[in-house]
Amino acid sequence: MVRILILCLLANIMLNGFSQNRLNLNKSIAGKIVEKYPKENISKRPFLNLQNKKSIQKLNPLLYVSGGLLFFYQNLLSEQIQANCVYKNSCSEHAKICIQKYKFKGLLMGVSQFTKCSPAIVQDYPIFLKTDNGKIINELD
Amino acid sequence: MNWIKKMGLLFCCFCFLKITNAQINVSFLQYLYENNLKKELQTYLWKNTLKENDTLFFERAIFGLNENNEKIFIENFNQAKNLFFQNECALNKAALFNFDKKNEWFERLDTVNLFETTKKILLTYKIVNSKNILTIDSLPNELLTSYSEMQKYRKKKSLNAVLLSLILPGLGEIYAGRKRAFFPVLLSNGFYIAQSIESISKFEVNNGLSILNLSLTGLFYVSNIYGTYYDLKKIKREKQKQFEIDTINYFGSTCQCSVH
Amino acid sequence: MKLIRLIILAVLANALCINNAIGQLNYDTLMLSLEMKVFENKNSISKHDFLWQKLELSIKNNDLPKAFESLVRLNIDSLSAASYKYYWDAAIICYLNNDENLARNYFSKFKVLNPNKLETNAQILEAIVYSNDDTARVRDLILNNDSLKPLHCLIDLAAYEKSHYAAYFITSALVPGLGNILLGEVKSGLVSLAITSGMILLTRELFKNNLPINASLWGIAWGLRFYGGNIALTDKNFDKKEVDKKNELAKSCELEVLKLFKKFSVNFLTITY
Repeated sequence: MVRILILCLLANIMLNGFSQNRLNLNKSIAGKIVEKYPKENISKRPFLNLQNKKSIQKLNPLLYVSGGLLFFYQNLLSEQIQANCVYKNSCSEHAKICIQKYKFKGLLMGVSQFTKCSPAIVQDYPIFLKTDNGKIINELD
Repeated sequence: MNWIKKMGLLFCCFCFLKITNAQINVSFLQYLYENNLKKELQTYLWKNTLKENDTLFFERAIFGLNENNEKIFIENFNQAKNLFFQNECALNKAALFNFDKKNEWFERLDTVNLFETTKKILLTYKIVNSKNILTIDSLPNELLTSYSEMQKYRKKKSLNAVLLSLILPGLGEIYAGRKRAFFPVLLSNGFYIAQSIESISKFEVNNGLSILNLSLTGLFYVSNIYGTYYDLKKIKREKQKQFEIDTINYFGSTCQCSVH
Repeated sequence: MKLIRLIILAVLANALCINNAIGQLNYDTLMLSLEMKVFENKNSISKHDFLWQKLELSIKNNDLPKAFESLVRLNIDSLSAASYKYYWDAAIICYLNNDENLARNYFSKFKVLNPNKLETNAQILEAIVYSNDDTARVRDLILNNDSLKPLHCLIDLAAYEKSHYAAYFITSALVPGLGNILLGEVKSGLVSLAITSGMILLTRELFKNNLPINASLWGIAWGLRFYGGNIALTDKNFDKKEVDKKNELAKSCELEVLKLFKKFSVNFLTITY
């Protein structure tokens, strides 16, 4: 009888050990208090991503000049003017992505978007290219 | 040993009773759709031991359509083609699903036994994807506006946009279709040109301020030209996409049905 | 041989005890089979019992959204063994799924049916569920029970508002960057001050050198942009400080509540997991 009981206990532990994470009820209830008041997450805006570039491409000084200026602008100046771009990818972010992908042509594309950036231009875009809060989707193809 | 054999046999019988090739229960499927139980639906169609026949593949393809999952749809459509060709609603839904997917579904479709509405969708697909102007007599009136917009922009040439931008910054944007970009582009280029002229007339060209102003003017001017060229290419794709969306909405509203 | 028999008996006994008669171990398959039973009994009252079983299974597998989905579809009054305990469990599930209104509904039904109205853990749950909606109620609970004093943090949290907004705003308007420095954002405050002063000096120099167009673009247009931006930044930093402070208060409140739970634990009354 004792042996059966011990074996039952061992089997119980074995079976329950393989089950999914159990709900910690008290921790979950207490955790909801903090969930209602989340801290504001400040997203990092790093320098250009040159990971997948060839070594020769990485020697291009234009990349570093433009990347440096954009890094300086995004991390220091952009909060000073409280820029609120009409595009989903802000003008500086779009310029960074274009420069990473197309280099000099990308710089021209970024500057071109910047010169056109005004609230009125939203009406020139079709509905399927706008987000729910009215920003223009400007992802590269 | 006998005892173990008996237990083993019992277990096998139990498993056999469980692993049966059951037929799909369509009313249960309908119930799952009505109650929006997607996880149970997926489990029922894939994990449950149902007999693999045309009906099951058909239901899985419909699930793929409803969940906007191209992979599931294509895998199961090929095995349930017969049922799709017997169900007008399902075939139209499939046609509209693949309309803007660029997966050659229409090219591989057997066009012999199509329903009338499906034929119209196929014709519209050919109109969108052909560079030449095809006869549009059979195109519904509701789609003529977006079709003519699409054709109007297809005819526009990038060289004209670039030349207009060279003459006056912002003019190329009007030609390309971004009318409201004219004033911001004109003003920004105009200001930088005026600044450069002023600084060159007061100081010389090799003064720091003049060099800065000239470089910015050059950058803005060249980027305006390249931006116009790039915008025109983008707008042509946008107009095509708009026509595709209008087609899907039009045929989606005219053939209202519920496969599930 | 005897030992092998004993092991097999123990495993089978355990399997039968833990799982139901069907004996399948896979969660999805179990949920589907329960849903089939709900479907087979859709016109009978026993479907609610099967939906409650689905809910229990979801909780055992830590699938809260699914449990909530099952809860919304069932009527607790139609359960075969309906009692106040089900309302208690339902209130907890709704609270964990961020539906406080429904949680309050279920909790009020629990209070009507529950004979032991003065249990401390029930009062704790009541305080937590009503903390955003009715702080007066929470205050009354704390007054009547000394053990609940740590829950005063819930009232402080709901009522917290950062003060002196106008002072920061006016300071930033008068001296660009000072409002941000007073809010604790020294770096952005100093940058605002440096940029705005730089723009003023630049405009002055450009006008002195008789370059009005350059002055108007570099100095006036961008200068005004930076000045206006500095005031908007003060406003944003003020809101951020309030949000951060509330987050800090919420974290300390969470610790207080957890300490309280160690003495008066809140658990499900019908679900074992």
